[in-house]
Amino acid sequence: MNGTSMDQILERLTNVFQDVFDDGSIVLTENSTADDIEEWDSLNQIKIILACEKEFDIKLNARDINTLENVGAMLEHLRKLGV
Amino acid sequence: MEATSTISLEDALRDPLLVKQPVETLQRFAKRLTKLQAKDSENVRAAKIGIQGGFTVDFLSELMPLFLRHRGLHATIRNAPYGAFQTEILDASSAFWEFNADLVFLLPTSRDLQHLPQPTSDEKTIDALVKAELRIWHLLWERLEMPVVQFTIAPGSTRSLGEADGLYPGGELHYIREVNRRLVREAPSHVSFVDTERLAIQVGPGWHDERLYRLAKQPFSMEALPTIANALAATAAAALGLSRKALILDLDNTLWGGEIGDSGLDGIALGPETAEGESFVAFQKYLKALSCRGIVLCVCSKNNERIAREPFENHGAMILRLEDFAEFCANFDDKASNIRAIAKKLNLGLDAFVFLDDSPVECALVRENLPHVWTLQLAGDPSGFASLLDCAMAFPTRHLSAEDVNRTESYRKLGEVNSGMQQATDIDSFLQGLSPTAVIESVREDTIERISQLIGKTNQFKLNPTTYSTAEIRDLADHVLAIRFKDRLQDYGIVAVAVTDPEAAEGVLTIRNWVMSCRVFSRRLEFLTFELFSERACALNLPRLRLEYRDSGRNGLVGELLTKLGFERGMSEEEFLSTPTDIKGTPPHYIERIGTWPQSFEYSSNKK
Repeated sequence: MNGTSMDQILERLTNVFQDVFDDGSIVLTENSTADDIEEWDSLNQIKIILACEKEFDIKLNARDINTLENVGAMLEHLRKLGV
Repeated sequence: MEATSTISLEDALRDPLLVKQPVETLQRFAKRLTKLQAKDSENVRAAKIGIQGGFTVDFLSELMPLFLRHRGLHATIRNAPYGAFQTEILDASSAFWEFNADLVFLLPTSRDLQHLPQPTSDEKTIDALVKAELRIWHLLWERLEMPVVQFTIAPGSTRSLGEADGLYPGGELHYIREVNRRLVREAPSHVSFVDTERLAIQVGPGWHDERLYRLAKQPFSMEALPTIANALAATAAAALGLSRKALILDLDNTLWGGEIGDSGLDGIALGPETAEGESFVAFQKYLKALSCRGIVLCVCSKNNERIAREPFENHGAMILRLEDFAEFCANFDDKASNIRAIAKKLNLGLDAFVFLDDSPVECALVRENLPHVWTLQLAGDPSGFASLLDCAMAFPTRHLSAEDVNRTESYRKLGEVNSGMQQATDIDSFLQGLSPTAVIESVREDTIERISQLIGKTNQFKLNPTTYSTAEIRDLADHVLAIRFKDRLQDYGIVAVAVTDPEAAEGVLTIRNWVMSCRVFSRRLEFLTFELFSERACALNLPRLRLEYRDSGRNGLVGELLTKLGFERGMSEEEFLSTPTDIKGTPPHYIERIGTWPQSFEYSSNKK
């Protein structure tokens, strides 16, 4: 199921962030955290999660969502879900 | 990289159907608007809006400036901290009072109810609980002197008592409804409500989002936000006097199907005969209802004025009448100029208008030249026109007051129907209360198709399988009886047809075939029809009626009726004869008759 490479997932994740923040200049790396993006607060976190669910066609549990606080954890989780 | 929206913020703000955009797009527009408004809001009315909600209002609050700007308001918004929306108002030294709001959104949820009943609670207990529930609201309303827009309490996502939950004392939904009724009744006039139960129906399955409530304390899904924001903004606009007031309508393919100029009176789709025609009637009824509550209707059509007026004067299925329009503008000038002229005549600003047209070209022209007018293009099947206009909430009202509603026809009518139904203790007074009318129609270009079709497609109330082409109907026009049926609720169109044949030598009036639409079963129209047969036979000096009834397996109810009408088997298996003067005691039908049969026919006069 791991047909998509990490780079491709990162690219799609970057698009999600750019859409949510309406900011095309956002560049994500595996090491990006909430500290790197000014508006990345707990409410925008919800939006990011919901947008990811749509983009990757997945449904996350409330328990998982709380652990996805940085891009590396997100990528890892997405890969685990077989994206 | 630009985000993937297809329309610009500027266009979105002029689109009456802003609410139909996906929530992600709207969230981006809202962000852009915030940046834009900092420098560009001089000519827009400003207002400070306090959002006091019993849930996390941040996502909703983010959309509000967009939806308020959509209705001509530059909003500065403050959100109450989670959990403090009531206490802040009661505390005179709070940040809420420092903000000095011009208008307050007061948004409780069912979780703010403090006196929920037990399943065993009786009506008296419920009454006391509701009374206790209202106390806090009276306190809040007393403090708030500015306009308030308040949620009614929305039903929860589960019903522990099943169907009983909403229907009997002790049920939570029942309690919520009681509270809502009391809230609306007892609130002072500066408080207006948004009916959340109705919003939930509009949003559908996405209204409740339990997971999002656990994660972020927002009880509804993101997808529900545009509908909520739109309703709040509309009600706020109404409270601040920013409702639109007038609706300008195109004619062809807006009020009826087809072009009156090309197809003529008989050619346009309007009336119960076709699905399309029925849809336009339904749309006109909605427009009429708007007019009855004070929305000004105008016509702006590219047509010859005489031709454009004709359907209003002479088409039987038209709901709107010329006197329903404040301005009737039919000419070949461009519509932007016409609308400007209408606005001037009515002494209303362009931002008071909504313009409806099916033509993308006309809509584009008006949108470009008159950006303050809300231009709504009617697209798709006409059955959707009314709900399209309705969901735009272009004409919000706060509550019904004497100045909003001029008590004209439809309200009066509706009231009469309702009172009629309440008083009806038996079927006779019920039928009578509906004021049924039978209009005897002649065979004409606009009826002939329906007459022939009704005989062809009726299955239940039908004597035999004989059908008649339109050419045959035309030839037999003198002997065709066609009845249109109406009551105070609706016009059912032509629903009964009979083809007769006087045979003087045998002393009988033969009924070749007789059909009636199932839409008017048990309205006793068959007895009126029989009356007409009898009168006709009498006038021609024919003592008896004759008909041919063939059991098709589906038309059994006609067989039963024939006995009631005194028909007895004649010479053959299928021949039935009746002597109408012998018949006594058919039930009274209470149907008023308009027209006579036969009447002077277009075709028969040519023939002779």
